[in-house]
Amino acid sequence: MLIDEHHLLQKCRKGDQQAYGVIVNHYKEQAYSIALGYVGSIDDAYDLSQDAFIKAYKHIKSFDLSRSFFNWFYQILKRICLNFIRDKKTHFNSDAVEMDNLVSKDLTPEEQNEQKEQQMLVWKAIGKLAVEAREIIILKEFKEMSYKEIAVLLEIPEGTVMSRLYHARKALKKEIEEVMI
Amino acid sequence: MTTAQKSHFEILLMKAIDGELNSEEEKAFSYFIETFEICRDEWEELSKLNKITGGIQMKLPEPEKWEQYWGNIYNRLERGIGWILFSVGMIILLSTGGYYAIQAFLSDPDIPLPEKIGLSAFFLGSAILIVSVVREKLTLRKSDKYKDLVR
Repeated sequence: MLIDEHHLLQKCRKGDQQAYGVIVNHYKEQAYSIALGYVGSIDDAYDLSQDAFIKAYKHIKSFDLSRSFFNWFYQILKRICLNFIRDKKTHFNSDAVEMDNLVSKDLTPEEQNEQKEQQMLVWKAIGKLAVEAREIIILKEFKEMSYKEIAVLLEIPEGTVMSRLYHARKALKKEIEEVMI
Repeated sequence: MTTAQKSHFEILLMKAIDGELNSEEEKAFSYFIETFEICRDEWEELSKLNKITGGIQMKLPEPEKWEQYWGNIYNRLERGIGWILFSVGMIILLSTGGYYAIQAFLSDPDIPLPEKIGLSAFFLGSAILIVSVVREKLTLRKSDKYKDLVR
């Protein structure tokens, strides 16, 4: 769905909550799944992503309209998730993820089970990664963002994105091996 | 393999896994894979890992809960405005009530002077302490460079 974000944000700045509703509905899935990648639980991700939208609305007047709303919002969401991780223990439960239907349809039931087990191991290992590594894995693997998009979002060069991703993937592989032992 | 070659390979490896290699980079990547065993192993390991992570999908909350997403935010925003108005009203009422109570207390001829002085000093002292603590908290929050630090 295409939205006239600039126009809507101008309305939000004048206190139009309905306009903000359109923005929220447009970005809610992205916000929720990024939060889920950080905290690992459906309920916490739901609450934290809502907290971020509320905080963003309260500070909407300080938002520079020439910037991308989501990039600005992402910094708020990230800070909220990091504070949550600092204060509470996160649980990467297997009920927060499922197997992609496109992947599962070509597999036998045994292969499906095996793959599912491996995916649960990966999910739990993601929960054990350092925050910086977890962040880059979420954005690349789950949000399927390009290097360029990640670079803009995190305000780092593309080369740094690739280098961070390499180390994050290696760390993830190491965590999986440790989870399996 | 030199450190520079290793760094170059890491970048190419990521691009290869994510399907972002151009034809020139593909040639360079093939050179690494054919020449160095360590590169071949890393390529196999990480592309296998990528296949597994690629098949993971994050679940959304229950459909009813998901549909109420904006509704919940709207209610919380509305409640926030309600709380602000409630607090402002409460502060005005308490201040006015306090002012009249103090005035009545001080002008009451039946209350002895030492009691008036003692109670006045007690309330004035409490007010100064509260203002001081609140001010300290606010200034500390503004100037604390570590406030966003994640431990």
